[in-house]
Amino acid sequence: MMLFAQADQGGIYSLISTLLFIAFLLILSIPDIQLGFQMWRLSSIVEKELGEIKRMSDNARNKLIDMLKSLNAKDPQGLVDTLAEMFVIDPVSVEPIDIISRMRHLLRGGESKIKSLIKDSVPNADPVTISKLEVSAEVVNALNLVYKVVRHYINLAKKLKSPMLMYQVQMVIPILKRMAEAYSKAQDTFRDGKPVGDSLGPLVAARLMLNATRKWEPAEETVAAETIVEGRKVIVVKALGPLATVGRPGEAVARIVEEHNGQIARIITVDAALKLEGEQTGSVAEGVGVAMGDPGPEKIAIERVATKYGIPIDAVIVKMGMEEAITDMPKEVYDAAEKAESLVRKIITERTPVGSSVIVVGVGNTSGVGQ
Amino acid sequence: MSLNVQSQSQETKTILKCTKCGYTEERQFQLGDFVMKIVDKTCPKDGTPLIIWGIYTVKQEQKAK
Repeated sequence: MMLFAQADQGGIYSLISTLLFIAFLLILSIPDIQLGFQMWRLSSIVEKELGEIKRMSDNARNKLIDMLKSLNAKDPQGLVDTLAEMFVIDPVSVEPIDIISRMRHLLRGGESKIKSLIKDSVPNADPVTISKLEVSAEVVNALNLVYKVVRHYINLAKKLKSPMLMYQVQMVIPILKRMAEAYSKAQDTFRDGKPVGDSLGPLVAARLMLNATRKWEPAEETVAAETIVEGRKVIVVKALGPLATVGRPGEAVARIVEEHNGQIARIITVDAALKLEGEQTGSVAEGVGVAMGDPGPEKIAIERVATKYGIPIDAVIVKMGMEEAITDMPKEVYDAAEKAESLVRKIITERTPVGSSVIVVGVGNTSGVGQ
Repeated sequence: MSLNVQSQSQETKTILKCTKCGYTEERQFQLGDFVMKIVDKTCPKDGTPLIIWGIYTVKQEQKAK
């Protein structure tokens, strides 16, 4: 009897657990419950990543505030808040006439606004320190933008209860986080005045300028030097170092070519280029065209003047990852500078006649690279 | 069971060079260093002032168990 009673009890428990399991499955099959569960899971993943991006953004702000405080700046907190929210509106593109000069006007307006805000706050700072603060402000601005955009889409997905939108955020957030990490590290490199991977072009140019006979400034924050390579007059152009600036290489080259009435045998541009996954950091490649990661105005200035006088343009690039381009120069890139310089010398000797004039442009940010 | 933790440490080097004889030496990066800066040191071979020829960073992966 006892045995039967136990068997009955076991059967009842088994029946109850089966019914509970079926009920659980039925509940889970209700679309709203599924949606809620998906949203909860996705938002917990993306919010964790958003928290990391916010931490990086806050750290960058605090570092800039500390830099300003150490220079006895007026209202560092207020200045950093202003710089973090600064923006430049794109020119009208449905009417393309004159778009380059309008873009140049707006970009330079943005640069001078940031510079004047910083100069007003730290009037006694030297140009190198001002340039470091400018780059640091750009980092703070970029990180703030990444954080706000990601937060916007997460909040929008929650508001619309859209798992599809949340999935898109989840797919793109690892790339944005990587970008944010690179920006975060870049701030320290520029603050310490070290060369970055992108300083490869200015590094090659600085070495070519070593025995220059004359140096001058053909454009703002840009230096040119005249030297002789195997009987050719070589005019080397780079941003004015060791400021953390890219200078105005396009404007400088256009001016130099016009001063020579177009009598330039070749223009050679040297720059860092983003590698594709699988490519080696520090590999050197040669091509045709202006090697320059400029939004437009500087690059087009070289293309226009070269086209006007029929001057061939060579591009020498050294490949690297995005993080390597904006953080400490890696050894592979440092080693590649010598190879790039040899290639530039080879192009000059093999493709230009003795007695001609050649322009070499070291494109990139010249942080930590003088001349 | 062991827990492998990977972290990256980095070291920034400054390369000094004599532009006359090509002699080079390496030291730790110091704040204020920049490429083409003439440093307070002369070449042990010919006494020419040394210049900073390059600055680069080496990343080392450290494994802790």
